[in-house]
Amino acid sequence: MGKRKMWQLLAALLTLGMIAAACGDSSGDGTTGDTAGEATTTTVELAQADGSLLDTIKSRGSLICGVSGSATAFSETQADGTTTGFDADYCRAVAAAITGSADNVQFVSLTASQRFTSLAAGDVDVLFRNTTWTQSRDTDLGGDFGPTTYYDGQQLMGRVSDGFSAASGVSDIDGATVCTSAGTTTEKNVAEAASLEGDGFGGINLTTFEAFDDAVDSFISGSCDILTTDGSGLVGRKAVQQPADQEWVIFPATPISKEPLGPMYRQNDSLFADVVNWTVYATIIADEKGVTSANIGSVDPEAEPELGRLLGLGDDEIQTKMGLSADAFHNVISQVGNYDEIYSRNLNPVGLVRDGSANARWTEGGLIYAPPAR
Amino acid sequence: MSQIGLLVVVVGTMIFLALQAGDNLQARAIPTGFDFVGDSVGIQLSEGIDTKPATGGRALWVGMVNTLRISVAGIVVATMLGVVIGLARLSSNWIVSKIASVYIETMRNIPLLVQIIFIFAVIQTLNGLDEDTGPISGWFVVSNKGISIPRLFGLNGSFQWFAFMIIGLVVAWWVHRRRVQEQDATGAVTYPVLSAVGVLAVFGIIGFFVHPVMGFLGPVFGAMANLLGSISESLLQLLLALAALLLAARRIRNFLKSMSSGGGRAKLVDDDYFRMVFAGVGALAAVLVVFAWPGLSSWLLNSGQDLFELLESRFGSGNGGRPFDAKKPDLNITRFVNYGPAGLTLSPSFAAVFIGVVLYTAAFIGENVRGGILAVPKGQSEAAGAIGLSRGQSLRHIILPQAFRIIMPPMGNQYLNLAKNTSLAIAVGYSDLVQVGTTVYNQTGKTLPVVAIWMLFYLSVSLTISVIVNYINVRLKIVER
Amino acid sequence: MVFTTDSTFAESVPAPAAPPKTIKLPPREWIKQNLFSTPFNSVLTVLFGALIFAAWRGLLSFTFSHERSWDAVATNLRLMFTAAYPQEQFIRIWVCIGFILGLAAITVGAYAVASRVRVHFLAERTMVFGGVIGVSGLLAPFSTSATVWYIVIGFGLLLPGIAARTQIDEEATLPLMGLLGIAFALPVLSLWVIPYGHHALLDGELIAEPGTVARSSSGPWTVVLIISYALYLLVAKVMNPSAQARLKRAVVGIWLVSPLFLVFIILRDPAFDYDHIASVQVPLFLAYAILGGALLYWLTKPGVGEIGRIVAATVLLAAIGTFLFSAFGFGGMRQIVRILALALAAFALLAPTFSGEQAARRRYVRVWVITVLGLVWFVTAANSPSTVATLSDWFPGGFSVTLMVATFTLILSFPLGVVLALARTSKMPIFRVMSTFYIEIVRGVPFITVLVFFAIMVPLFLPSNMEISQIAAVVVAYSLFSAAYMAENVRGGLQSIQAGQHEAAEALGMTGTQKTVFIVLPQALRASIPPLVGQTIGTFKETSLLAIIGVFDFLFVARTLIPTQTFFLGSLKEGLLVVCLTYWFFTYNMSKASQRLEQRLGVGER
Repeated sequence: MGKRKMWQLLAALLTLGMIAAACGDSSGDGTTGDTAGEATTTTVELAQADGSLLDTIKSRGSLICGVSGSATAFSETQADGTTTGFDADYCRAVAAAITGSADNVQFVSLTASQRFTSLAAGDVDVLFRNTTWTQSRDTDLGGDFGPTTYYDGQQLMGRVSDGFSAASGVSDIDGATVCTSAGTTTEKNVAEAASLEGDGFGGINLTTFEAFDDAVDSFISGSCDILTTDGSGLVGRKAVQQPADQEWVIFPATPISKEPLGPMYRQNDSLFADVVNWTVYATIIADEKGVTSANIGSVDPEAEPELGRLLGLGDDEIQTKMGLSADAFHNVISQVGNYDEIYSRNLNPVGLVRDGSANARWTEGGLIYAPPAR
Repeated sequence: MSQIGLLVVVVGTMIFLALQAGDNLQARAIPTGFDFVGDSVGIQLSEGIDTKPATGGRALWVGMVNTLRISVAGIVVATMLGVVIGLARLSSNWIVSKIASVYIETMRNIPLLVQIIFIFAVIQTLNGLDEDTGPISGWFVVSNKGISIPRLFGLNGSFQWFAFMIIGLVVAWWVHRRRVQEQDATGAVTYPVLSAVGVLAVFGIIGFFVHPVMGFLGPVFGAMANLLGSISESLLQLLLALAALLLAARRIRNFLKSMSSGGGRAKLVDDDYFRMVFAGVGALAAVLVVFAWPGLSSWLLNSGQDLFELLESRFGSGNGGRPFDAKKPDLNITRFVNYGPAGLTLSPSFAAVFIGVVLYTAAFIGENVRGGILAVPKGQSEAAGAIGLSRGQSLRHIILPQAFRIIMPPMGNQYLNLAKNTSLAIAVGYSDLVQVGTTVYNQTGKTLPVVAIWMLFYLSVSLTISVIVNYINVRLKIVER
Repeated sequence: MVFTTDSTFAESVPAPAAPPKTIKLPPREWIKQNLFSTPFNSVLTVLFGALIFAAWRGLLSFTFSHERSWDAVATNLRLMFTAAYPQEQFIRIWVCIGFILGLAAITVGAYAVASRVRVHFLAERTMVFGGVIGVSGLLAPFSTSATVWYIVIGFGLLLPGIAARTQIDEEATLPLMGLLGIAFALPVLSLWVIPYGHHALLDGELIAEPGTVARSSSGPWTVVLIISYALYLLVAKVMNPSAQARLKRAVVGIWLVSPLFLVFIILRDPAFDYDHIASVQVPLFLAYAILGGALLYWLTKPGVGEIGRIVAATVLLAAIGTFLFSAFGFGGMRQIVRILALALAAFALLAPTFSGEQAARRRYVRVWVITVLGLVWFVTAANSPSTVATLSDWFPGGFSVTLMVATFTLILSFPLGVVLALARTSKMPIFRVMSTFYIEIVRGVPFITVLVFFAIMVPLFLPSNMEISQIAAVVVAYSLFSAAYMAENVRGGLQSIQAGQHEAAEALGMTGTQKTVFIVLPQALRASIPPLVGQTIGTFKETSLLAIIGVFDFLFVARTLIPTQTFFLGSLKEGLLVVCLTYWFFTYNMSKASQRLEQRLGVGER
C-alpha cells in the first residue's frame, strides 16, 4: 500500500474515532436551532426536555390533547372540523386551567393501538381517550391515570329475537360470534369471561375490528350475534342505529367488567398530574355545590369559603402554588362548565342519563366524589 | 477511498441513532424485550390453527400460518384468474374483451384497501345463517357468516398412499417421455399429457387399496432414527464447521482459477479482493455460530430423530383402511346458528381479504400476460396460422411457451406484492400476522419487538418467493450466444 | 416486353399503393363478426351480456335505494376534502386551487397542445352515453316519473348523436381545447343554477335547506375558471414562440417548487419575525452566498486540480465537524448554519464535474445562490409559527393530505431512488452491497409495517429536544419506502444503456461523475419513464394505508369520522363509494396520461 493510501486510511480512522467520541457524549445537548417565538404548528418543533410538562405547555401556549376523534358522544369530529364530546370538553377544561382559554387546544386523533405509544413518546400531553384504568396499564405503559370522569362497564348487546332479555348473562352466549373493536380491554375481558364459564359452555367465536363501526355493521347485518363494548357505547348505538325490524337489548345488568374511564398522562410528573387531577375535581366540586357557568358570577366567597378558594376569589387560594393562575378553575367552570353541564351537553343526546347510574353524585347514590379544596 | 468514507458515515449514523433510541427508550420507560413470546397474553383469535393461544409466541405463529395460508391460496387462484383475464383481453369477442379491459382498469385504479373494505361490506349483505341455508344445504353453505365446504383430511394411511403415488409419478413421467419421443419421431398424435395423467389416476385409485404394501418403509425409517440418535453433537458441530470452511475455500479457489486463465496470474481489482474477503468472513462467521451455539446441532439432531420416528409410526403396519376422509360442513346450533368445526369454513374476513387480493393481483397479472403475448413476434402467430393451426392450438403450443419467458419476472413481482398485501387484513379483522401482532402489542405494550418479528417474517417470505421465481427464470432463459 | 424510352414505360411501373382504407362495417355486420362469430363466442356473449345487466342493475339499486343517506356525504364534503381547515381562512384553499389550475393552464398553453377531435367520435360517444342513461332508467328502482325523465334525457342525447353521425361529414373536426373549455364551464355554470347540497352544519345545528354546497362554492369556482382561461389564452395565443420556449423551461421548475410554496406561504402563512430575519437570516444568506459563490467560482476553474479536491474535502470535514462539535457543548450553532455548510460541501465536491468556461461557472454560482435562498427561506418558514389557527394536528386533512403526502413523497423519493440505483450498479463493492441490502430489505416488507415502525420510532430516534410532526414522519417513511421501488425502475433504465456510450464518454476524457450526470442519466431516465409513471400511480393509491395508522386522510374521514357522528351513525357505504370514485377518477386519468406519454416518447417501439 502506498503512502497516499496510508494517509487516507489514517484520516478515515480519525473520523471514525471522532464520531465514536461524540456519540459517547450524546446527553447534555442544549437547545440548538432556530425558534422564532412561540410555535403552535411547526414541522420541527423544539421543546424543553427538563422541567415539568406544565412549563412546556405554558410556554407553548396550547395543550396537545390526545382524543379518539371517532368515539360517538365522547370525541367526535364534526363536519366543520371541530371536535366535540365529553372527553373533548375535559381537554378544553385542562387547557382553560393552564392557559386561561378553553380554545387553546390541539386535538390529536389517535387510534386505540397508537394511544399509549403516542403518550409515551411525547406526541401528546394528556390522553382523554376512553382509556380504562387498569393495574397493568398503570405499571407497564409508562403512564399514570387521573381521577375517573366516567364510570363505565362492559356489557353485551343481543337481539330480542334470539331470546335475550335484560336478565340474560354471559352463560347465555354459548357458541356465539362476538364482535368488538381491536386493541382494547374489551376483547380481553370477554375472552376471560367466556373461559371462566363452566364445562357446559362451548366457547365463543371472537372477531375484532379496527373500527368499531364495522363491528356494528356486522351486528346489524346478522354476521355477528353479539356486540360488546362499554355500556355507554352500546346505549348510544342502540339509540341511533337500531333498525326498525330489530329490537336490541343490553345485558347483563351488572357489567361483566369495570371500566373506569379517565385521563392518562406520563408518569413522574407530579406537577402536571396535580393540575389535571384538580381540574377534574374542580368540575365535580362545582357540580356538588350547584355552581354552573351561568351562575358562577354570583358566588359569594364569604358564604362559601371552599368555592372561594377553588375559584380564586380570595387570598387563600392554592392555584398559584400549583403553578397555575389564581383564576384557573374559574376559567374552567365559566368557559366549559361543571361536571353536570359537560355530561348533559354531550351524553344526554345519546340516551345516557346520570340518575340511577354510577355517574350520579355521591350524595345521590353515585360514585362522583371529589376531595375537598382546602 | 470515498467508499470507506461512506461506510464510516453510515455506520456512525446508525450507531448514533441506536444510542439515541436506547437513551430515549430508557428515559420514557418503554418496555422492550422479547419475553412476551413465552408469557401468556390472554387473547382469543378469530380463526387459525389455535384460536386460544397459550403464549404470545404461539399467537404470532398462528398469525404467520394464517398469512401463509392466504398467500399461497391467493397466488394459485390469482395466477389462474390472471391468465384467463389476459387471454380474455385479447379475445376476438368484443364483449369479452371489453369486460376484461373494464375489469382491469377498475381494479388497478382503486386502492386495494378500499376494495377489501367494500367487498367486506358486500359480504355482510348476504343471507343470514339458518339450518337450511346455502345453495346446497349440508354440502355448500353460503351466508354472511362465511362459506363452508366439505373438508378433506388425511388419516394415518395417507403417508403410505403418498409414497405409493411417488412411484406412480415416476412411472407417469416415464410414460410421458416415451409418448413425446414417439410423437416427435412419427408425428402421430399420442396425447402424452393425457396418458401421464391417466397413469397417475390409475395409480391413485389402486393406491387406495394397496397402500399397506409401502409398510416396509417403516423399519427403514426406524433404523435411520436410531442412527441419528447415536451421533454425538460435537461430531455434528465439527462436520458443519468443516463443511463451511471447505465450501468457502472451494469458492475462492474456483474464483481464482477462473480469473487466471490465459497465462499467469490475472490482475485482481478491489471488487475481487472484496469478494474473497467476504467469502472468508462468511465461513468464519458460520463456524463461530456453529460452535458458540451448541443448541443448533442438538436441535438438528433431535428434529431429525423426531421426524424419522414420526415417519416410522406412519408407515408401520396397522395403517390400513382408507387414507382419506371427508367431513360435511356442520352447524353449531345453540341460541344461534354458527358453523361447526367439521367443514372447511371461510370466514367473512378471510373471504373479503382473499377475494380482494385475488381480484386485484389478477388484474396486474392479466396485463402482464397480455404484454407477454403481444411481445412474441407477430411472425410466430402468422406462421402458426400458415401451417394450419387453429387460434387455440397456436396459443397453446407456440405463443404461450414463448410468452412465458417474458411474463415470469414481473409475475414474480406480483406474487411478492400479493404476499405483502395480505397485511391489509387488519382492516377487516382477519387474524393474519399484522392483526395478531397489533393485538399483542396493544395488550403488552411491546411494539418494537413485534415490528421486528413482522419484518423478519415478511423478509423471509419475500426471499423465498424471489428464490423460487429466480430459479424458474434461470431455467427458462433463452441461451444466447 | 420490349423496353422503350417513351411514356409507356412510366405506365408499366405500378403506381404506389394507396393507403388501405379502414372498412367501417354496418352495425349488423359488426355485431355478427365481433359478437357471434363462432358458437363459443355466441355463448360467451350471451353469458357476459347477462352478467353486465345484472351487475349494472345491482349497482343502480345500491346507489339509488331508499336506505342511502347521501346527506352524510353532502354535509361532510368539506371534512372529506380539507378536514379541519378553519372556515374563516378558507380563501387560502381557494387560492391554492386557483394557483394549481392556473399553472396547469399555463403548462397546457406553453406546450401548445392543440389537437382536434373528430365530430363522429363525439357523436358516437354521445350516442353511447344516451343509450346507457336510457337503459339505466329502465333498470334502476326509480319511481315512474324519474324513469320517464331518464328515458327522455337518454333519447335527447341519442337523437342528436345519430343526426350528427349521419349528416355531418366524416372528416369534420372540432378543436379539443375549445371542447374542454366548454366541458369545464358547464359544471361551474350549473353551480349557479342547480341547488346542490341540502344540509350544512352551522354552530352545531344541522340545517336543511337546498343549495348549501352550491352557494358557498359557485363564486370561487367561477373566478378560478375565468383566471385559468385567461392564462391559457394569454400563453397560447398572445405570447410569441421564443417567450413560450423560455416559459416551457421555467414551468418544470415552477411545478417542483409550487408544493413548498403553497404549503409554507399560503396554507400555513408563517408569521415571520422580520427583526429576527433582518438581523440573522439575511446576513447568513449574504455570507454564504457571497463567500460560497466565490469559492465555487474558483473551484470550477478547469485547472484547479488536486488542490481543489483537497479544499472540497476540507469543507466536507468542517461540515461534518459542525454536527459533531455540538455534542461537546459548543452549542448555540444554528441548524441552518450546519445545513448550509453541508450544502456547500456537496456543491464543492461536485464542482469539478461542472467546470468549464465563464458562462458555465457563472451558471453554477447562480444555482448555488438560488439553493441558499431556497434553503434559508424553507428553514425560516418551517420554524415560524403558523397564523392559521387549525383545529387539529396538521391542517388540511381529507383529500388534501392524500395529495400532499403523495406529492412530497414523489419529490423526495425520486432523487433518492436515482442515487440508490446508481449505487447499485456501481463498480465499487461497498456502495453496491449497501444499496442492494437496503433495496431488498425495503422491498421485502409490506408498507404497513414500515408505517407503524416509523410512526413509533421516529420520535425515539431524534434527540429529545427535537420534535417532528406525524405527517413529516409519514412522508419520510413513505419516501424511504418508495425510493427503493424507484431505484429498481431506474436500474432497468441504467442497464439498458449500451456499453458504447460509456466507452465513448471515457474516450472523451469525462470523469465518472460527468459521464453519469451528462450522458448516462438522461438516457436512463428517459427509458424508465413508463415504469416510473406506473410507480407514481401506485404511490398515490398506497396513501390510502395512512387511514390505518390514524392519519386524517381521505379514507379515514369516510370510514371512521363520518359514521361516528351522532347525526350520521352508520353511513359507511356512501362515503366508501365516493372514495372509490374519486381515487378511480384520478388514477384512471393518470394512467391514460402515462399511456399518451409513452406513445409520444416512442418508448418500447422498435
